[in-house]
Amino acid sequence: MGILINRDTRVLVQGITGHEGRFHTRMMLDYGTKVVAGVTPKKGGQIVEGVPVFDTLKEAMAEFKAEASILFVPAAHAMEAMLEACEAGIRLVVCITEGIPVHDIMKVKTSLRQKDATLIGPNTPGIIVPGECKIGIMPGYIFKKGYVGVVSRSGTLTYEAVYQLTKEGIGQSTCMGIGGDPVTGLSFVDVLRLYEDDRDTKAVLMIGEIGGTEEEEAASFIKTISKPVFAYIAGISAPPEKRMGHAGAIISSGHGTAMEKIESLTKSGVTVIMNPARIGRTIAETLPRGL
Amino acid sequence: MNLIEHQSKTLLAESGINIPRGLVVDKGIDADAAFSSLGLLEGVVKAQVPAGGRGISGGVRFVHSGKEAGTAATELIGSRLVTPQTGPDGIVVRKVLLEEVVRAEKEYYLSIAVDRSLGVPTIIFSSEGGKSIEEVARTTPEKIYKEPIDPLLGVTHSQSEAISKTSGLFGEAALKLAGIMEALYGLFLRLDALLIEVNPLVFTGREFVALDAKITIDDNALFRHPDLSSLKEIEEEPLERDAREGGISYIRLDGDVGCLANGAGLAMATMDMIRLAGRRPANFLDIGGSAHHEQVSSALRILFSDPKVRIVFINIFGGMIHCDLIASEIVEAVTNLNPGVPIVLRLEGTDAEKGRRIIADSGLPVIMVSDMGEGAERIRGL
Repeated sequence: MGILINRDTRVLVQGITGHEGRFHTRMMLDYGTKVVAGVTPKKGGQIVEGVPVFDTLKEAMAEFKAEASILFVPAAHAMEAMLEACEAGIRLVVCITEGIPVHDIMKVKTSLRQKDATLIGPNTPGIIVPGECKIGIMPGYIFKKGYVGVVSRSGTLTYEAVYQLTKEGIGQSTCMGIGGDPVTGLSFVDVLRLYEDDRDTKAVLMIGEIGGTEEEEAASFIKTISKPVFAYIAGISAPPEKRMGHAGAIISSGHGTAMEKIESLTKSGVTVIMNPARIGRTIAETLPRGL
Repeated sequence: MNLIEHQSKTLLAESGINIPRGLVVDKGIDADAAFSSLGLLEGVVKAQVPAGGRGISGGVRFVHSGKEAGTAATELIGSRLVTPQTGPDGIVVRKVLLEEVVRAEKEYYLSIAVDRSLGVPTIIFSSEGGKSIEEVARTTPEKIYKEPIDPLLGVTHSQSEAISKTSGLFGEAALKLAGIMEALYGLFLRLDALLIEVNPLVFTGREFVALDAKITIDDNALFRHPDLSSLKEIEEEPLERDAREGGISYIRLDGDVGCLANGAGLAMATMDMIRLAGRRPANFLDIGGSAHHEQVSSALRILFSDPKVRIVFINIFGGMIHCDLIASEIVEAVTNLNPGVPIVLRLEGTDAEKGRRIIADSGLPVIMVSDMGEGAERIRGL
């Protein structure tokens, strides 16, 4: 069930010995994720939360054939760590780190594309298939197994929306944050395509925000898909030329406003929810019973 | 970080790109003197503010004597310049740039920007220089040429020459233009820039000269460019500076409902709820997804010290942070700071029940609401 990951996915944690890496390794293990190894340069030989630590990714991969890695590496070293993961044959890189220079991400994205590997993030809460596997930092207990695929540019706002869905009894097939930075690995369009092809996803909730044109590109793509799409776009009250917390959330030279995005999504037949307190309710009222 | 015109031009000149002869001054009398020391017959006085649209807003003045230069500079310096990009309050002009007037045979547009969708740098070139690229895109989109650059390879000669050919120039001039593109790309990399825009780039018949330039540098990359931090001239709101130093993301706005949330998306959604309730947010404030003790208390201090704030709306969804800890912080901050404005609080998620009990037991006059929607309703009535 779900996209990109499942209960058998083996995960490697890059930056496992730091405070965040250690804490979330524990949380992922508790959720049932198969965390097989960790990497921190010069910390090889340690055991963190029962997980063996290696100096390099290559050494870890020689012993454990992981498919995915999750990064808790400081911004200044994140590019190197992601390129190392790609080089060692990791298929899916989930980059939690916030504050990575855009030039670094452009290089990483191009390198991963050449190797046909997938990048989620940076500046993402990660990805979760409820009840099966969590590669991320989201609180596991708010999710419920079900049929709505969730994709978002934000962290806590996703938790808010998922909590509302779960309270209405609506479960999720997969939830993924694509990241709040100007350049990210997977885009809304990429994830929508995956949800369209996933037979366990019956409807999609997309949570966008001001800045860039991802939502507009998603809007033209949505015209070609068969599943119902719901959307909430944050930032109708955001001022121009100010970065709203996320590096990518900025209205510049009059472009990237919430209203532009809402209009193009509405035109594509998306149910755009204006009131963020009514995301769960609206979907519950609109979706056919039993989903 | 947006650089100001004269800073951007200095960086272009260091990369071998021609810029007009000019001087930056902060007093009218110095503009008068600069007019003679530059040996000008006519010049242009340009307000140095980080916003476009100066020309149509009176921020660019043509002058024909030292006296005129002095008068124009005196009028501009200290005034608030309002352009389509500044917002209604405008920006105070601190400095002006006095430059020679360059006669153009042809004006071009040239920029290197990050293409957010493709995730690569892109060279954008147009033979319709001197107006905003948005306008060209609207009226004559076929006159805009875009070339994505592989970030692992950089600009190749064949790329720069192919773009240069679309200028209609031949021979040495076309080669010079290709060279400028390559130099600009080198600068783009060296600065960790998100945008370098030269508009117009003029051709005088012999040389190319950058008449105006805008550079935006990636804030996330400033840690590896200690030399660039000295270029930070733009004034910050004192409260915004305090917040930045305290590790909080805060932007002051013009409403009277102060708000606070954990996470940027939730903070924006909270502002939107206030707007839906018919009120206006006084700020954007994100304490982060995993806020600690200090962030919560300094965030509340900032909210309570803003004299415009008449209501406070705190919207917390505890994911990784625990609501009981947030509740204790709120009780402590409200007790110590005694803000004297109504506080509407929504606590949901991890340990929300414990958190609500802490608030109830404190006896403080905090209005507890069960969700964002109810919060907005309460704000509407206050």
